[in-house]
Formats: sequence, structure tokens, C-alpha cells
Amino acid sequence: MSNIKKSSSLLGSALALSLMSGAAFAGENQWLYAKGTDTRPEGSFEFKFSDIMREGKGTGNYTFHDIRPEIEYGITDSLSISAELVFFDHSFSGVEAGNDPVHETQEDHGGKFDEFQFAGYEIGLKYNILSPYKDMFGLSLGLAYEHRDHYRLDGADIDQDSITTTIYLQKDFLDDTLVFVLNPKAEFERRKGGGVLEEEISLELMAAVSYRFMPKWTVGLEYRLQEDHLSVQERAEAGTADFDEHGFERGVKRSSFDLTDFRLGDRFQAGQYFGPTIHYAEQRWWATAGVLWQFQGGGGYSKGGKNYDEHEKYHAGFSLGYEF
Amino acid sequence: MIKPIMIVLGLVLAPVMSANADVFFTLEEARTALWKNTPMQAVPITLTEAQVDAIEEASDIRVLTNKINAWKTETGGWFIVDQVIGKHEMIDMAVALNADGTIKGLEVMKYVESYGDEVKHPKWLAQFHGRGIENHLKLDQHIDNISGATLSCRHITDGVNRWTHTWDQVLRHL
Repeated sequence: MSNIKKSSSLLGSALALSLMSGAAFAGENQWLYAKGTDTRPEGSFEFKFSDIMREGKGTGNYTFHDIRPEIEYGITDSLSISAELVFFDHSFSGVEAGNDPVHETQEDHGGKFDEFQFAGYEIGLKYNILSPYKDMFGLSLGLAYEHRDHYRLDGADIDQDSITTTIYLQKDFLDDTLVFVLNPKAEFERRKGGGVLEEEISLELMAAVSYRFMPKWTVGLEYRLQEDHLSVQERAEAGTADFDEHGFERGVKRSSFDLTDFRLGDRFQAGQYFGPTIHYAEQRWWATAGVLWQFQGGGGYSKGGKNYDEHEKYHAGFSLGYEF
Repeated sequence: MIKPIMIVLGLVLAPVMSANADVFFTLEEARTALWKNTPMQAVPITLTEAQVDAIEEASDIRVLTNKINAWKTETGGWFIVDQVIGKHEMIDMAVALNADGTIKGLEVMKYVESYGDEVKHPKWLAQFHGRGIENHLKLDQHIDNISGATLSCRHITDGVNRWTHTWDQVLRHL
């Protein structure tokens, strides 16, 4: 017995000083956009709050916040449901002509536009098929529905519905302290506003790695590619020089995701981002921050090899989560 | 508009920003649970690089520290206090090894995760009793997984593989 007591201090110091590394847990947002394959344990809730700031349109001043409070619930250990509200905070001025609709909107509001908006909501499901902790790799599938009343680019009133499908892949190394994830994502958007119907297939690819360098702390790198394939239909302009008899833009191979007419048309624009992230986790809460810079873009309104209509100079964001 | 949101968020999260670890066994309680009053002697061990390599090679599990907090019983068995990787932090474990290197018992001493503490249940831990180095234990194959606690189950299983091979490579010769 006395030996045990004598050794308890040794034990404490040994455990404290030993090289400890906690495991990565991908159910939490460890990056700005990419996610791991974990779903919530059955019957458990998590509240999340994220704010991703998009900064810079190449000209003028442009700051946009995409703010999302979210609640996630584990229906079973393999199936989670989430619901999030979407808020937009727009602030831009001096964005040059050509970068529409942002330029047009600022001109319509006297040269600058500042507005905080409730923009919509999203409901999603995530189903886990393979676990990275016991299978060769992790695999989950995601399906989400989103409705928006305001356009992300310029805050205009719109009526947008979209369905998003995501594949979550995860591979862990070094006792789950080194985590690689890959998220191919396809979003099918139908947007009405100002007499225009837009159908857009947005494709995204997120790839990220994280390393838990000490208990509770993780650093990471994240890559994001986003491109969209846009079809614009203006029935009022049908049969004019720029629009065919159905109102679709001439010379543009259109996209469609009707069940009987699925086609991926011309790519309208694309942007690629890369940057670091950092993540901290306690027993019941966690926090993540990161910055992604656009390093390449094209199509739409582009300057200097970067796209500035759908995309920005950089995205900086944070997210917080609490489990209960 | 951003500031009010952040203030509200701060107020909501502030009360929950500290959480207490769940300690199920102290060192003494774990020793009594596993070995009752069997006399034992502390044997502080620092593994050599060659021993670490040998254990990792044999168990296929990373050795996180070369310090082993071990006590040898009068009957030739061992009592070890160690850690395995948890979701965010380490899980403190107490291990009893029989004189032949098989697992006599396990206890989860401290578990600092929000979910998955079902791994401390005696029925789940009993799956390891009598296990030695004959089989490389795998989750779902030799050991039942607990859905929702997969990561913890995996790392405790890995820990057992490491401890039995630590006995085979080092402790049996002491």
C-alpha cells in the first residue's frame, strides 16, 4: 500500500509529462468548410454557431458575413439531422462596373449597400456507413434542403430552393491524430427573382488535413474548390438577340437537373482556396478558426487569375460548438 | 449587427466553458478493484528505444511514452496505470495482468469526453479478461464495439494489445 502512495507522485508526473496526444474528432467543425464522417451519438444534441467572413472583390470595399446558428441531433448513432438559420451581413461600396449584381445593387442604393438580413434556413441529414476508427476509411453521405429569401452576392430579394448532396470521406493515421478528409459536394439550386429563373449546379470539393499536436489542440490545412454551372432563363427576353425562344441565353450550354433532363452545362465560374485552420476542444465545447485565400479563379468576373463575382480575396471564419 | 450576436453567444456559452472530468476510480480504488489486498511493489520502468521498437513491432500499436507506471504483485502479476487516446484527451486506465501475461482485469479511471463512457461498464471490459498475445485483438472481430463510442473502444482495444505485448517483451523478464 505504501508503495502505491509513494509512487502516486511519480505516476502523476509521468502521466503529465508523457507525450500525450488526443484524438481528432471530425464530427466537430475542424475546418471552415470541410467535415469528417462522424455523426452525433443517438439522442444527443449539439449547438453550433459559425461566421465566415468573405472579404474583397478586387475593387472597392467588400465585406460579407455568412452567419449560421445550427442545431444537430443524433436520431441514431449513424444518422444525424441538423437545422440551421442563415443570416447575411452585407457591406460593400466602390465595386467597379462589370462585377454584377454587386455593382448594380450598390449603385441602386446610392453607391453603397449595408444590410443585415435573415436569409433563410437549411435542414440536413448525414448518414454514416463506414467508421474511420474501425474500417479501412470513413464514409458518410449527406443530403440537405435549403431555402433562401436573399441572394448571397448582393442581398436582393429572391426565392431560392436547393438540394445538396455530399460525400464525406475520412482516413486517419497516427492513432487518429492525423486526419485527412475529402468532401465532394453537388448543390442543385433553383432561383427566382426579378423575372429571371436561374438553375445552377454548384460543385464543390473540399480536402483537408488536421493534426492533433497536443491534447485539445489541432492545426489543419484546407483546400476548397467551388464552381458553378449556371443557366439563366428570362422569358421576357425570349427570342431576342441574346436569348432563344425559351428565354435561355444564346451560346451557353445550359444545365438542368430535372429528373427527365439532367445535364451539366457550361461552367460559369470557379475559384480555389487554400489556408490554415486551428481547432480547440474541451469536454463539452469546441472552437475553430481559419483563413482561406483564393489562389486561382476564372470565368464570370475575373481579374488577375482570380474570380470576383462568386468569389472573394479571402474567407476568414470561426465556429463554436456546444454538446448537450 | 454582428456585435449583439457575439454578446448573446458569449452569454450563452460562458456558463458551460468549464467542464469537470469524470473520475471513476482513484489509484487506490482501482488497485483494490483489480487486485484486492494482494501485496505489490512499485517497479518504475523506463523503456529503452529497442524495447519501444519491439513492443510497437509486435503489437502494431504506437507506444506514446517510454515510462511505465507499474507494480509487481507477490503472485507475479502486474498492476499498470496508463493512458489511451480518447476523443479529445487521454483516457486513464488501470490494468491487471496475470503472471502469465493475460488480462486479469481493466478499469477506466478517468474519462473526459462528453459521450462514450459506456466503455467503463464491467460487461464490456470483461471481454478482455484472459486475453493475451495469441490474438491481435480487433474491434468487431474479437471485441464488440459500442455504437457511438467507437473511437474509445478502438483505443482501449489497442491499449490491451500494447499492454500484453509490453508484458511479453519487458515485464516477464523483470
